[in-house]
Amino acid sequence: MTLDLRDIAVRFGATTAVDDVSLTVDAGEVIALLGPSGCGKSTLLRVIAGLQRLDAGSVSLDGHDITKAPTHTRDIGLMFQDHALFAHRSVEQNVDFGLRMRKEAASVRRARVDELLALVGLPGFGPRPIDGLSGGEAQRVALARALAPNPRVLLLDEPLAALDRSRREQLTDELRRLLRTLDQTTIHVTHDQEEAFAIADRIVVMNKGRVEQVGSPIEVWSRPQSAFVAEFFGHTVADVDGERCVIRSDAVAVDPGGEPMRIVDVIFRGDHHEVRVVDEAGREHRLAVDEPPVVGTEVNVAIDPAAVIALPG
Amino acid sequence: MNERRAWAAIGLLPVLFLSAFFLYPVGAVLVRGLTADSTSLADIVSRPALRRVVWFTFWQASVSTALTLLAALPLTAVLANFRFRGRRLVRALVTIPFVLPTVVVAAAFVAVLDRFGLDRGAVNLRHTVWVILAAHVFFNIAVVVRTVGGFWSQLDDRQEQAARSLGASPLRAFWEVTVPRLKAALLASTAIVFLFTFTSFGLILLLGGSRMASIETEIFRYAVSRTDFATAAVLSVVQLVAVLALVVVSTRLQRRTTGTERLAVDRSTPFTTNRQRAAAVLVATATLAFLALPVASLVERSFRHGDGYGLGNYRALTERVPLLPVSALRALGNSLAFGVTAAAIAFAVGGAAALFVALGPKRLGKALDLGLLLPLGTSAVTLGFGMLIALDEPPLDLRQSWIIIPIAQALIGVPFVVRAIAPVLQSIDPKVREAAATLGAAPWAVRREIDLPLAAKAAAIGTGFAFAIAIGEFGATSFVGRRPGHLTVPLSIARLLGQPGEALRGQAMALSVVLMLVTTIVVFLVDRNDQAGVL
Repeated sequence: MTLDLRDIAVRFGATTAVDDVSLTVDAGEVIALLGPSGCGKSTLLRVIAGLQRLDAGSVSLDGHDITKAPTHTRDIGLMFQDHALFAHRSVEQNVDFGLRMRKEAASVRRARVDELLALVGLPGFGPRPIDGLSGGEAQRVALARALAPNPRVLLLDEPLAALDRSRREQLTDELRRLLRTLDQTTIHVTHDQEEAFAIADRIVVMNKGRVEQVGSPIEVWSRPQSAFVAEFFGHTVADVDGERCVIRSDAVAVDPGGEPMRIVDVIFRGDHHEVRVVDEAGREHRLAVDEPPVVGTEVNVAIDPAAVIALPG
Repeated sequence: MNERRAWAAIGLLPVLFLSAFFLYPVGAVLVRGLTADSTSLADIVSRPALRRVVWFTFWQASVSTALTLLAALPLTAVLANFRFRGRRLVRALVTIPFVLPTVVVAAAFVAVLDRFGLDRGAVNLRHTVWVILAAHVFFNIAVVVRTVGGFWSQLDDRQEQAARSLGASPLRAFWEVTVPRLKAALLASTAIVFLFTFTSFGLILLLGGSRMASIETEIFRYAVSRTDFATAAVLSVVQLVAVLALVVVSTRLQRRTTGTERLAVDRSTPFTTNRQRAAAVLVATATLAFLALPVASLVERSFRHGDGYGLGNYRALTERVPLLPVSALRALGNSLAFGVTAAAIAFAVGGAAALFVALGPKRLGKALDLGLLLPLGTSAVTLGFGMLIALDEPPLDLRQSWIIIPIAQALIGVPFVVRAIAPVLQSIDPKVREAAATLGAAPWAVRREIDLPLAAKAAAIGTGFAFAIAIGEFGATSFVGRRPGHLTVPLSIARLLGQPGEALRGQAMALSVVLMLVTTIVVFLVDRNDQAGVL
């Protein structure tokens, strides 16, 4: 179950939404397409689903070219942020839809619907109407609906973005466990790095239609290959000894032997305080401390050279 | 290519129908009117009698519109701002007059005059402009309550709250914040009411008698009674130009005032003071009493037989009266048959048009959408007159055929069918169709599984309205339904009302009550399911 994207390009008039993207997704792998809104990640997803015409490139699944195949023949599951449930059908009719389209036997369908509803934590919800569901429940139904026909690839388009923070964290957790259990090949589109870290085996960071970096969560976070990726993760990009470097957000720490820096701001973050300090060169750094210092005073700070990475080029 | 051909086939039906039964007849009227040979155009227009007709049409429409606004706005304010038990009922009751056929409204006002002796003696209102104005107000209050009230009740009230917190009195906040935001809705409903009263035909013909003459009634009299097609055509041109000018001006004005308003769900609150409650009760009672009086009088008069009450008038409906070529019961059968046929035509034509407008090629769809508005803006009289003079020779020689009646009636119903279905299809989130496709639904399966279930209900609603319009249609039918065997209920009522004699009038009342019941039941059934707000 390998998905292979080759030199994909999508243009909308003068703007290029997806610019020469190539990517291979292995069987059972969970990929996160991560980037700010407008970076082309959702367009790429629509290309894979066959919902977006492409200007160049090819899509193949297990060696078969499906670039020109219509959506309904691709066997690819898709889940939208606003879930796009069929409002005029019940929960079970929604989940059953893909099975019915595949002309599965009635007994098989019934069993599969019950199985999926149990899997997403909504046993017994079958007969309910869609408009009575909460946001989280609707998302679970949408997930069950997308998974029911056993898609070869599951595409998730910002599925959790509309939920409040605590609900989102809970569902991220469940989703992660579910995808691992099912060994489901998945591409997950998100702008939230924590969500991507929690769910993905590999992260594809996108910017302006291009792939900036591909790697495991730890790799992309700790070894950013471009200023964009570094800043996206909250690191500082600065010139150190005449070289463009990334000063990672974990590089800065209080150290009695370090340089004195002036504290310009202190922000309470719940389990710690975030302190903003300014060095001699006028660069701002952030560090985490337990006890809040006073703004305007100085603190001795050291920068760990191992966490300062030179940018290529 | 295949899809293209399919869309061409779908679009062809409404285009052919509109061309043959709307553009061609109305075009024929225009050609006749602009090339009037025996009497030149200027000649006819300069006749003082016709100038008086045009002037009367204008001023009665203006006064009717002003009076309608005055009568409707207090109740509109109450319904928009306050939540109370019976609010929905009041709103539903106010709508009833608007869905009544014009002949029923005319009969109801004849009944009021009869009941209170206002058609004889010292105060004689029979065939005066006063009863016409009253009937116009009765008919159009719903327009203002629905359009202005619908908008007002959804208008986010935090702007008023902000004004109040900045020191404005309630009255000041209303005048400086609420009124400017309502301007667009007020203008829209003013334009609609003016258009309705300007093109009012049945009410002026039946309540004004021979003394009152508007452009519409004169088109009818010249075309049908005097067979002076030239003058009728010139009047139709005057009418078309006036209506067109009206539409242009009102859309201009509305475009200038329309802002971007965020609509809230419901701004209404329960009453906070007893004065509010008392004022609301007074306003609602007075308005409903005004609306109920003609209906109650109609029902009362329909049972009035000789010196007492009884079912005599209803029983007489099964018999043939000398005045009518067939019995009223036969006319009812005709009306129902024509109504069903008209609804079927409107469903087929309107359904195809809605599909094309909502899902077909964008630019052509927009053009068709605009083309479908034309029959709405054209008066039924012009339409009927056009069919009368245009569809009298091969290949479209339909004047002797019964089918011309449902066709004319369907033409008026088609825009309602389109307005019911197209927005529903357009409002379906494209992602829902995409989700269905990713789940394995082929394009035709998407239509069947997603579009059809949602559109079916809307289609039923639109077709129901088309049926209700058809069975009550009077303007166009009075031109094309002239064969004795094709008599409809509205035409029967009109004939019975026009004659002196208590017995015939009683039958007109009874027949009106029957038509009123059929119409309101149909509209009630349809309206209950109408979430799109077609009406």
